[in-house]
Amino acid sequence: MNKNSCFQKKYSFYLHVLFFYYIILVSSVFEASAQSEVTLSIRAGGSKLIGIGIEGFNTTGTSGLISEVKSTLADDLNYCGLFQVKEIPDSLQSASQSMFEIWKAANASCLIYGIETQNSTAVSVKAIDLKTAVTLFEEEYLIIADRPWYTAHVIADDIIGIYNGVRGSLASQIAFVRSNGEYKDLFLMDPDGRRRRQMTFSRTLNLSPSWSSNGESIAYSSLNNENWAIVMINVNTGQTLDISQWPGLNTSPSWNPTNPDIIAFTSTRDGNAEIYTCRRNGKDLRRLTNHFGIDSSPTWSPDGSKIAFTSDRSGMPKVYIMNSDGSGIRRLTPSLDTYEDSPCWSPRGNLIAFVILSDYGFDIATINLNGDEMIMLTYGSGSNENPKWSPDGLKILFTSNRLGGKNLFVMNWDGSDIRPLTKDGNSLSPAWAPTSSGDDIRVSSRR
Amino acid sequence: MYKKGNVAVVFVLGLLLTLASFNGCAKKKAETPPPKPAPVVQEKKPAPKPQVKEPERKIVEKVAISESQFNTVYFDFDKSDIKSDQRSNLSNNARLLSDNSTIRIRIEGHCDERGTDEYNMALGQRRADAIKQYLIDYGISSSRISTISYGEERPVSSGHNESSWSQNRRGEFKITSQ
Repeated sequence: MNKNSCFQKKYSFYLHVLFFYYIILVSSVFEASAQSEVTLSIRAGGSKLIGIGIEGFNTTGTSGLISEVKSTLADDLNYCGLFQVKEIPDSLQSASQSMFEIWKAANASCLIYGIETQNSTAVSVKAIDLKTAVTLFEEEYLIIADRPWYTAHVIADDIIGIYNGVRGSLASQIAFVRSNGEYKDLFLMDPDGRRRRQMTFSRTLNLSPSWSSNGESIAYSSLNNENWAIVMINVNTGQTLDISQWPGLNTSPSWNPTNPDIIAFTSTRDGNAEIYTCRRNGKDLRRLTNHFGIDSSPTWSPDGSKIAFTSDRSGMPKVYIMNSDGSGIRRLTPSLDTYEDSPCWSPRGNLIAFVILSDYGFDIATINLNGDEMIMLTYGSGSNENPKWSPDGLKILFTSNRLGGKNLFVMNWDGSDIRPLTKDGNSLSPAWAPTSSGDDIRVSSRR
Repeated sequence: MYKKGNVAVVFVLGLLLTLASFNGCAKKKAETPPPKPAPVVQEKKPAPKPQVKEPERKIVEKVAISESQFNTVYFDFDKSDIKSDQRSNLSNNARLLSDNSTIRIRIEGHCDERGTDEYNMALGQRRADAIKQYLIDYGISSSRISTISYGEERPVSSGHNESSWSQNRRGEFKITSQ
């Protein structure tokens, strides 16, 4: 029995593989579809990318800031999962056509045009749809001398917003855990893996970071005097606050995405691992689950009305959904003999990413809210855990040992374009911060 | 006399030369005796310590328990029930606690690297709790037992195969007070 048929038999439903846009039925559909409840796909392709051109961004000054904005913008657009930045081939360089015609010939459907303003301290950016010649948006951004890349991230997030409906996630940061011998501390880095910096220096174990919806604070689980506590750290001041003033195991905090005052978490304070919510000062504690099984790893729906979580109440860990008051508990993932854990609700609300134990180890999958369409995003390459969505819903961060050790990776939401973000072998448990509005450098917002 | 004096001078010179040529050795030899008193000094130095240690020894004689006498209890993957082949390990620990009623312990629950950190943290707690419940059922007072989970944070074996995993899925006993 080969690995695939074994895998298929384990799931008792048919398996189809979407591989570079071709759907391949891996094995006997007829036999298996009789038992079929769920469609399982393995995806290794990707959505079609939008061709985009970048023009202008020339400077009369000598600081080189605008050229750094341009190169970072190109990296961002190539990275975000929606676009492919086009270059004008040499054959078109000397053509006598208009700029729009040249970019169309280079397979771009959108052109980003930048002109420096205010003595090279700002840039005015236009996005033009090349088919209709309609200006999609026009905006002027300040360039801050010690961080021109930030201007590029905000521009990229605005361009992504036009096509995605939700602004991009590049003017943001990623919190993660890095192990250093027996200690684990929180670190931050930019979404492209650059500018890594340490957040905690506590000489203990700090795990499971979760961002507040306003991006000001991170809640995490910390081993504090032989007790696992939920701790909150202010990202700007570094001040910490122990939220859980009670004994027992307190782990897996998850901040309500609509209310920065409410946190869900797992606690054994009443004897068994259950899910609770409380305010950020630890008050107004509410117990949501009441079952002798393990209930852990809560994740909120984007509107804050529901919570998905892991429970082994059926005998193995599975993903469940309940209302945020604890009512209406239902199992999301199919009733099969598999181990499923670590749910993360997508920012659009329609999918939940989670971890499933396959023949090859742990893999990342997504499932819709009906529980009838599951897509494997990783498969056959190391053990892959801790899926976390980017705020724009285009990317999924995860931890994998595919390069040896534990490293952070990022992929498009459909499983394509997997990129490593760390290579030290000691990084895990990522969490993507809410995106900056960019209003601090948007000239129109500052007037 | 003169001859005798010559012989005496030669003898004395020869002796001096001999001593000089063996100077290094002679010094070493000369220094070797002091190490003999040195141990005496060392023996004298710790002498005050036994006065402090003696009461401790008396306690140790009474209790005579070390952490290594407690067996580690092993678990199956994603399970927290005490396996039948682990009951003798655990009943030995229970007997030790029963015979030494002043000892307080902390049970540390651990998991293998498979599974998500957060779920494993809860699973490790459940393993520690299962051991605690066994001890309570045996008659050990729950006030003597604390528990903590380390999830998959503290493996004893760093391999990525079943032989390592099986060693890491465990409950350990730590003495918190004698």
